[in-house]
This record gives sequence, structure tokens and C-alpha cells, in this order.
Amino acid sequence: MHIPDGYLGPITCGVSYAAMAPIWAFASRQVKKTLAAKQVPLLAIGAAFSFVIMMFNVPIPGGTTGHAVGAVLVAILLGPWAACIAVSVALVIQALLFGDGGITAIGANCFNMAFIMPLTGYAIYRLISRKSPVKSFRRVVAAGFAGYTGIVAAAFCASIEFGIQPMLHHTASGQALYCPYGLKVALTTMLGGHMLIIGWIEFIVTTLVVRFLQAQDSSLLEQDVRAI
Amino acid sequence: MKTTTKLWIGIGVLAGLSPLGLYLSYKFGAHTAWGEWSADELRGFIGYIPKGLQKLSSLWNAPLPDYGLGNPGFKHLSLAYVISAILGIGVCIGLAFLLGKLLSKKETNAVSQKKAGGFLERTILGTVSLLKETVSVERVAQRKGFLQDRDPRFKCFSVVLLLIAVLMSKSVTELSVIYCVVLILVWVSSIGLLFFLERTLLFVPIFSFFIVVPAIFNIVTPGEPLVSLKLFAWTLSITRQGVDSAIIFFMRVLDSVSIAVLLVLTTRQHVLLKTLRIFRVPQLFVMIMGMSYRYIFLFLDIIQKMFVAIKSRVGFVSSAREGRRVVTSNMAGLWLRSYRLQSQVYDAMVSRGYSGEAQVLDEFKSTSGDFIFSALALCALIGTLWLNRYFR
Repeated sequence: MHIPDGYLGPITCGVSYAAMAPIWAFASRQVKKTLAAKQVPLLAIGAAFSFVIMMFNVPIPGGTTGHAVGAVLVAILLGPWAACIAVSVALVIQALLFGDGGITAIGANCFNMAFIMPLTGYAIYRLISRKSPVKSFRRVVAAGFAGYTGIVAAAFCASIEFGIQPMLHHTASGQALYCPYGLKVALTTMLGGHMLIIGWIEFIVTTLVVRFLQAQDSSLLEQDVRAI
Repeated sequence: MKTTTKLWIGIGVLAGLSPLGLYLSYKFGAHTAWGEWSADELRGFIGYIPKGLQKLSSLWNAPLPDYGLGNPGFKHLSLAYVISAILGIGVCIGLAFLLGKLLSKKETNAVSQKKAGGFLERTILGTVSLLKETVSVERVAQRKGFLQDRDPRFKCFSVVLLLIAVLMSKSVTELSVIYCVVLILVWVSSIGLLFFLERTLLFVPIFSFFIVVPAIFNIVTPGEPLVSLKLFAWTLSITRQGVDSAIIFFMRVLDSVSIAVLLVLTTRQHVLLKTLRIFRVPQLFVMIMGMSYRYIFLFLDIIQKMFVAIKSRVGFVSSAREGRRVVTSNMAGLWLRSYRLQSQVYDAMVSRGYSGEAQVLDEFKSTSGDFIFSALALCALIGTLWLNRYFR
């Protein structure tokens, strides 16, 4: 879902950077309040963790593999605003150093994967889990649907961003200047693909990791209560 | 000098000389090569166009007819020739590379692909190739060269200006000129051309190329048809607008990727993250980024060791279901380890005098060359905005 340079026009890039600036400012204020001085190493390690999650190949039926984004998982572990910063840092490092996602599209990529995804996912997680105990099965299910909803919401935003390009930027003769596909194509391929396949990878990964952490050290799942 | 370097110079010289034929045929009043006449020229010779020829000649309209890039005057025709030559060379190299990669990959992966345990190998190979890639990039960044000697702050700033210029541009010719400038910068920064093209052509641009192919048809981009194919009541045609959209999209992606890779190849990675200060990114974020960058490699090392251990002890994983359990338990394990690590790191920071205030050292020096370089990048951006007035 990392959008490269050249797919989005200047308006979309500019607007998404402008939208992310206050979100980042709010997130860092929120994190300072809840995590205090420990924030720096925790966020650094959270960012490295969300970078590395994308490196794990997960086997899916049919003999191939896919990978999860993990932003919802990080939100469950660190709280939504800390996840916003950690995933943003991971995305900036990926774009700047490893060419994964464009530099002009950092704003849009962060909006989709570091804002919409963890916040939507986290809201669903809280909504389903309610006040159930940390070790309950309900939390596992909540985590799974949170992961699924989070990535589908992010894919929805990305396909809207792709889809409005031919409308925003074209020459008088009808030649597109950026991503040439309209909303219809972008929504069916991108959103469809995420609802059918990639969303379920996220579902499985988020579910199983939460289940393993319940068994190993459930205190790690209580972080969120402190960091809302 | 290596043989390949000599060959590259030879190809470059030939591309530069390509307008010579244009000049010579103009000078001696020569005609089109024997047997390569176009339909119109043929009419001049024999008075009519053979019917079969007429039918076939409109079957395919080349994207760059007569190497001319649209219809420029004679003066610009030689420039168009050189650009066409470079584009042609680029496309040939890209296809050859892709073919080579596809063929060589099949042999090594054919065995592991089928097994459910293939994901273990893939993850191991993924982490190893990332580490290897980082080392080879850092090696290039430590060489002496034009871009390596620039002040990272100015270089980063200029690259951002260039990227914005590429983002705003509406002309394929301008994007091609920028690509030529990038290749010159590659040359003066002592980066191997093949090394550079392997990193810039293979992944994102080729991927984008395949993505954009359906857009040349009238189902996506309606417009003036170039080639039509009638299937019952349904007409599928390639449109001029579609082809133009595809070309400008591909060139823009290629330019952006090349410029970004140029920055990464000529700057030490930990320095590059520090330059974010000039874009008013708060110190706190820059510090988190710097720390996170180091932990990424620690984590990659941990994953690689865990997976090699699993592979050497268990050998294979029986099903995809079992595989998912292995992967996710490793993710959970990684988080347990990193959470413990985090509190130790914090204690270590405090014992070394960390007070909760982020401090990043600035150790940059700028020269007049840096100012000139940034000024040129600014000119490119202003020039693009000025050129855009002519495209509506």
C-alpha cells in the first residue's frame, strides 16, 4: 500500500502533508502526556518493530506469501497516538532510505497507514473488547476484526486518493497526468483486493500475536489502558 | 578501466552522435534509405499507394514516430534524436535486465516455492538482502564524488526541489531532460551506471509500467484512436491520450525514483535522517528516527537468527496453518524482547545523563558549491512552473 512518487498529483500530496502536520503535533502532545520521559526509547523501538513486521512473510493458502502492515497491532500494544508516531517514523525511514513509498507521498502514506489505520483499528478494538479481561477470548476476536477493519479503511483512503487523480489533473484533450485510473477502477481493484485477501492476513496476524502475548505476558496488553 | 565501462562510454558517444545522420542526409540531399519509404513517399515515386501497404501501414503507430518526439522544428530534432537514443538504450537495458532476473530467479526458487516452509527462506533472504543492500549503498556513499562532497542539508533541500519540479512537470521532454541530468550526476558521483540502473529501473518503474499498460486503451482513457480492433459490436482501441498518459506517468515515476535513489546512494544513512532538521521536523522525531534506524538492524539480525535456527532444527513446516503460527509467535517473541530492551535502553540513557530533552548534534559544513547546486535546483523548479503555462 506504499504509494510511490509520481502516482499522486501536487494537490493531493500538499493537502495530505498539511493534514498530517496537526495530527503529528497532536499525537506527540498526547504521547508526552501519557508516556512521559520513557517515550523516546519506546517509540523508537515501536517504530523499528512496525518496520520489521512488514518484513515477515506470512504463508497464505495457495502456496504464496503476503505481509501484514501491523499498524493496528502497534496501536493495541502502545495506544493509538503512540502508534501514529511509531508507524510514521517507520514509513519515513522506508521512504527515505529504502525507496519503499515515495518522498512526495509520505504525507498520503502516513495519513493512510499511520493515522486512519491505527485509529480505526483501535476504535474497533475498544468497541468489541469493552471491559473484558485482558486474557479473554473476546480480546483476541476484537484484535482480529480491528486489524481487518483498519487495513480496509486504509485501503479505502488510498483508493480514493488514486481515484481522484484523473479528475484533478488532466490536459484539455483528456490525457491524465498522474495515476490514470478513476474511482471505479481504483475502488474495485485496491479495496476489493484488501477486503478479499490482504485484510485477512492482517486479521490472522493481529489475532495470533495477541493470543501469543496473552499466553506469554499479558501485562504487555494492558499498556493501552494507560495510553488512551 | 573495465571493459563494461568502455562499452558504456562507446554507447554514450554513439547516442550523442546520432543526429549526425540527420545532418549528413540534409547536407547531401539524400533520401530515405532504400526500401524504408513511408506510404506517402511511395506515392511520390509510383503515383499511387499499393492497397495492401496502405492497410498495414496504419496498423501500428509508434510512440516516438521517426525518433522525433512529437513534431519539433529541425533545430530541436537533433536533441529529440539524442533523447530518443537514450530512451531506446534505457528500454533495451531494462528489458534485458528483467529477462535476466526472471530467468535466473526461476532456477533458484523453483524448489522452495512449492513447500509450505518457503516463507522461512523468503523472510531470511529478505532480511539478508536488506542488510547487503545497506552495506553496498553505504560503500558508494563513502566514495569521493560530486554529490558525496555536497553538504547533506543542501543536497537534501535540492533533491526535494527537484522532486517537486518532477511532480509539477507536464511535459515528457522536460522529464527526459531531467533524467539525462540525473544520469550525468550519477557519472560525476562515481556510481556505476549498471549499479544505479539496477536500483532504479527494476522495481517501482517496471511495476508502474505494467500497471499503466491497461490505461492506454479506450476503456480507461477515451480519446482519439491510434489502433483499433473490432470484436463484434465492441471496439477496443489504443488512444493517443492513453499512450501520452502512460508515457508521462512512467517518466515521472522513473525520474522520481532515480532522484530519490541518487540521494540515498550519495549520503550516509544516519546523516540523511539528521538533515530532516532543516524541514523543521522536531528534534524529538529526529532522535526517535535515529534510534529506530539502529534497532531495525538489531531486529533484522534477531529475525534472521530465529528463522535460521527454526530451519536448521525443524527443517520444514508442514502446512500454511502451522507456518502462520510460527511467524506470529516469532512476532510476539520479538515484541517481548524489544519491550524488555526498551526499559534497559531507557535506564542506560538516564545513567548517561539523558534529561528528557532531545538533542541532536549538527556537524555540517557548507561551501559555495552547495549554494550553486541548490540554486540550480531552484531554477529547475521555477523553470518547470514557467513551462507549465504552455500546457493546458
